[in-house]
Amino acid sequence: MSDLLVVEARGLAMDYGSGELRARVLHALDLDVARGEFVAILGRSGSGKSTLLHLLGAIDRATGGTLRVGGVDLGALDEEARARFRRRHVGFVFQAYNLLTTLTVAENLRLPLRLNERPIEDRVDTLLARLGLADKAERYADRLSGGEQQRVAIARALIHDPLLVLADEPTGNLDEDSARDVLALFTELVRERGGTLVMATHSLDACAEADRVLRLEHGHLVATR
Amino acid sequence: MQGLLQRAVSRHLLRQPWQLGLALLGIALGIAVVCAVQLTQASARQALAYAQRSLSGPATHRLEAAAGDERGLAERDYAQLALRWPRLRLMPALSGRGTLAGDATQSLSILGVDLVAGSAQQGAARRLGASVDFTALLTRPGTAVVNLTTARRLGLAPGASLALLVDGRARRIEIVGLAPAARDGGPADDLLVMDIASAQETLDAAGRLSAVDLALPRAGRQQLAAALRRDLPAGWRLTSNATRLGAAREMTRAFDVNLSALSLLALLVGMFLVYNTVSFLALQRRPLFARLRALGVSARELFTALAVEACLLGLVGIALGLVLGRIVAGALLQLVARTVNDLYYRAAITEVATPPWLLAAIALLGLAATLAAALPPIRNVTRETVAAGGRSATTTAAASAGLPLLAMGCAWGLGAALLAWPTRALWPGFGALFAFLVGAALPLPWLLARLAHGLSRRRGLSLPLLLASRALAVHDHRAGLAAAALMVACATGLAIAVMVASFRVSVTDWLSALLRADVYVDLGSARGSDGARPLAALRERIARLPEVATTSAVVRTSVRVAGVDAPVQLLVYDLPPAARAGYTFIAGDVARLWQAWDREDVAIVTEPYAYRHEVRVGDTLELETAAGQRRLRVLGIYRDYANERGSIAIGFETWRRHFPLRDDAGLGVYARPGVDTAALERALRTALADAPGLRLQSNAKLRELSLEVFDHTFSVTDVLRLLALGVAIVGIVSALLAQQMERLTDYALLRALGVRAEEILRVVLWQTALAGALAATVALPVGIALALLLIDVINVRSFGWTMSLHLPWTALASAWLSALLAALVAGLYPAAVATRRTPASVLRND
Repeated sequence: MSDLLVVEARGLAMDYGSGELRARVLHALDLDVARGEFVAILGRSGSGKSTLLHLLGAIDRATGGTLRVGGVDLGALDEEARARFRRRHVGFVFQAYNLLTTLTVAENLRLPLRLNERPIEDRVDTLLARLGLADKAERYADRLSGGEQQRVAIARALIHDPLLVLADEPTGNLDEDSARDVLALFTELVRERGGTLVMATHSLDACAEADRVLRLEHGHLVATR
Repeated sequence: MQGLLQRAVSRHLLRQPWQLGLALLGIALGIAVVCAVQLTQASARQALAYAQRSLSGPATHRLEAAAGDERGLAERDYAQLALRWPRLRLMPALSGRGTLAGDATQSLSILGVDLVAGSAQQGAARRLGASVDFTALLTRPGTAVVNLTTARRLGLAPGASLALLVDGRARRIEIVGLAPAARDGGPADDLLVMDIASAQETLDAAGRLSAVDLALPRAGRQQLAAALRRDLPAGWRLTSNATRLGAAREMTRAFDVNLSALSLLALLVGMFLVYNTVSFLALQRRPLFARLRALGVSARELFTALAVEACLLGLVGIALGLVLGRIVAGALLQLVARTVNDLYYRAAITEVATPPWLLAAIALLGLAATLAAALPPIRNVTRETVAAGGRSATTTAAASAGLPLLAMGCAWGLGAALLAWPTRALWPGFGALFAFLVGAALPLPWLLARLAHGLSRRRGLSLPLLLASRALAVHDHRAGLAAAALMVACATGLAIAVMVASFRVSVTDWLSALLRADVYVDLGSARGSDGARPLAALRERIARLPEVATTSAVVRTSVRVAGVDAPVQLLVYDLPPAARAGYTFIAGDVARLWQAWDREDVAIVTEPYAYRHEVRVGDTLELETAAGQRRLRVLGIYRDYANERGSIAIGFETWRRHFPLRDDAGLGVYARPGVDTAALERALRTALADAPGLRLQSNAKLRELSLEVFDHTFSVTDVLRLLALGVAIVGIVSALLAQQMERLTDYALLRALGVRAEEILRVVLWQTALAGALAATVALPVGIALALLLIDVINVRSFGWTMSLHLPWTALASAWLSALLAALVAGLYPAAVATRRTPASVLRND
């Protein structure tokens, strides 16, 4: 394994259901993602983009092949170890923001730091200022606009400096202007931190920013650039 | 259109089977408790009606001996009366009791009826059925008929022989036929029907009758009754059956009302549950409702669809509740039967009555309760604008205090007004109790949110506690409603526990003070050869024993008092000075009273008697005696928990001056210094070996037996209390489950961020623990306040008893812990649901 590779997937497969209802979503994928790389994944709805991100983020377990992230064989981890892996090494951004609506903006950002037992205040304040949300730190997350919520979600995914950032159509719910702003901020922050980003997207803007663009078709990855 | 709309709206329920099931269970449990209590009460009333039914035919009136004369009526007087009134249909009867030889707890009633008189025979034959061997019943002494229920229970068949103990004497009864069950028109359960001559022999009551039933024609009934009264032999009374049945029912009124109120409480807790479920289901379907409204469905159509859905939910829950209630009634029946027989009247309550009108009334009550709980959230959701409904519900920080506190103030104001209402009626008292309870419960959701909000602002909280407190602070009020339901159940349980404990302490103190003799002798069935009870002779024999220092005596009889409908218990005391100190007087000059005792025509009355009949010290009671009315001055009111209907007590000499007849008697025997109770008891048993039917009981044993009766009486309330708590637990499970279902995405997200399943479990359990702790903590003062209301208002109005508050710390601690435990137990399933789902499965569906 190369130290430069964050993701190494070999023959990665994923099935849902069983018996006659069994459906193969991913077919023996091979994927390497280097440290600091931004990979965009295109594909139709239902092509398996979200499933691939769930596998890379140790949310779901592959039904075939091997997957190493940061050198760790995810298939060998039990649920407890997978939870520890996620909290330390993965940052997620979802299309629907998925902020915790019972927590304020600042508390949503503190959450990954608390989970990793890392110091909190300076990082939260700095990042909120950078996002232009310093004055909304004590608001409940669902009281913000869509663009603001997604900015908070991006901050939450990055605040603990994860090894791998996964984004599932992060601009899909936003208007064009907001999407452009959010995407610019997102890629900028990831690159500043030297982070590795895998993004499922339909956005051409996002593809333009990416180092590599892959297309997921019928469960197979095809390189487009 | 409405059918399609109904399907669109209601199919959602089938996708929430647990939520639906818990809502149904909540309604079912609430209805089951009400149904069980009502059916057991109906069963007791039915058994009483069966016991009072004349076997010889429909009767309107009864002739019986004047109160106080337990020897009954002389048969020769009856014969003369029958000759003077040849057109009256007279049905003489003799009743008594016996116990099965070898099982003193199994008591049977004996009823002798006249099977010779033509009309009476026809009536009895109809009631006893065609299979009875009337020739044997008429001609063979010691033959009897029982109904099928009793025969099945005791394993009897025609020809079987039954060994009985009647007044301590062995009797053998031969069964010569089986009559139909009581519900089919046959005689009452646990009743041996005999020919009257045979019954006289069995009961050793030759020439005596207990009563004569008669049917007066409707036309001119009043005049006929008046004429008959004028012609009655001395010491006979004519009473109407309606009055007697009414008086017996009146006896249990307070007991019935108390049980009914407790059962309605379970329904109240069930209503919380329905409200909560309907709110949740409505909230979940807001986007669906918005889409329907956008398509042109009117608010009224949507309201109708949801109301129909609530009705269907209610009807299914009610049907389940009625079935469950019937089963629970079977279990409660024994407890209620024991209390009724210990305290009120003798009736064999062996089967659960299920009158259709009562089941229909309970079903209507259940439906009304369901709709009352369901309509407010339905109205709220259907009033929303289309745009508002389409948006997902946003979090709301802890609401303002205004509305909940205003609601609490209104409820308490209503309660205070009901308490201030100058009445002795029981329902305003219960109304005040309910108003106070509901008032205390209303601000609980707000209070929980405020406290959780405050807690979540504290630094240094663990992540699960922070997430739990924040969820309680900003999410909707479901957990608060569950906490309110739990608080209501717990506070009520605690109030009853405190009231019962206070009552028990008062009764124990009262018994300790009152029971001063070392051994008590109950003369019971001991009779002299002429039927009179040899109290004086027996007492003299006892007094001569070297182990005995002194004796006291009591005669228990009943008397008619001017202005009081039913006979009143009259206690006649012959008390040594040591025994007099055992009475606790609430009013009256004690020294003056004991001075006048026996010498003057004075009486003392118990606290319940004084309360019920508004008697004060200095008032005069007019007692009916064989020689006419006698006036007795009331010199004291004393504490007594033996008889809720109240008693009058007079001195032995006063009694002898006015009442020539004797009744049951008890003696108190005081040991000489240095003689222990066991030695005294042995000496008494030896000395009284030739007097059959005597019962000797030590002071300690009598106290123990009295407290046993007390404990039986409240065992039914314990069962109901637990049922109410059960409903509350279902409520809290349902509320938490709803909350956790809504938060599954949040939990999945937390899992995706690396929060462990065990930490999610702690988040859920912290929520239930915080809600449970608040419910438990608020339940303590509310429970104590309710206990005070029960003691100072409900008990006084029900029974006329006063007592002081006694706070059993164990009850307080166990109430607090059981509420917390109930909440934690209730959280286990929702916690399991929250942790079992993998983050991928939730996020995939999101």
